Amino acid sequence: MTDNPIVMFLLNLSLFVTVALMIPAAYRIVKGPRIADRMLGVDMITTLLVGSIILLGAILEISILVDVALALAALSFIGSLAVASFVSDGKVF
Amino acid sequence: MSILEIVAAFWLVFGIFFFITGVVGVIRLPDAFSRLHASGKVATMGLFGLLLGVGFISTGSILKLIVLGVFISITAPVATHAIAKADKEYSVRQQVARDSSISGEGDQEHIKSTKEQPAVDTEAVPQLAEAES
Repeated sequence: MTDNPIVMFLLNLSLFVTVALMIPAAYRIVKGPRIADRMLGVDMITTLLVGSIILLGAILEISILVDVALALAALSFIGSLAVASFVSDGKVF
Repeated sequence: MSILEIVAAFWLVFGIFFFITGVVGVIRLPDAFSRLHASGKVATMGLFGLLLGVGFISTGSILKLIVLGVFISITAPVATHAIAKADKEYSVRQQVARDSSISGEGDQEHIKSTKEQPAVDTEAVPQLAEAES
């Protein structure tokens, strides 16, 4: 791990920006005129959440948060496919 | 400031730049499919840059970060493709249902419910009910 204050400041700034960018994605979920916009917003919020979990693990030096991010990415992929199948066919499986 | 930290700072800035670019594109682009194109940049370029940056800083968990990067690079385009295909089929189904309810000439292969039901709702249009009787 690093003790450089510039790198630590950059990590904290990246975490702040990544969390703050979830607000426009939530706006796209609420506003979105088509059904693809809402699914896109959920997918993008999950991607930003994976990035913020990894940055949090790097800042707090908890290496097991990478496993949490991996599990969240896998669940997000399965969830996106299930919602897409439900929208296109009218049934989940 | 060692060389690893300089490289890590570069990749962190790279990832954050693509995060901001993708979110601005998702807010400002005019069409739903172009917005899908912008959100693909967030998943692949932005998150991959962020993973490389964190991997150069905390070198203990670099293997798991590489696994996560490969997984994201494979699954994010698949999810975007599934979303676009689902939206296309949904809008086509709605358009076919609307056309068949207006003109009474729905495509019989795509809508199976028109075989059982009359294409025009006779309760909603009383003139047609009188003409048929």
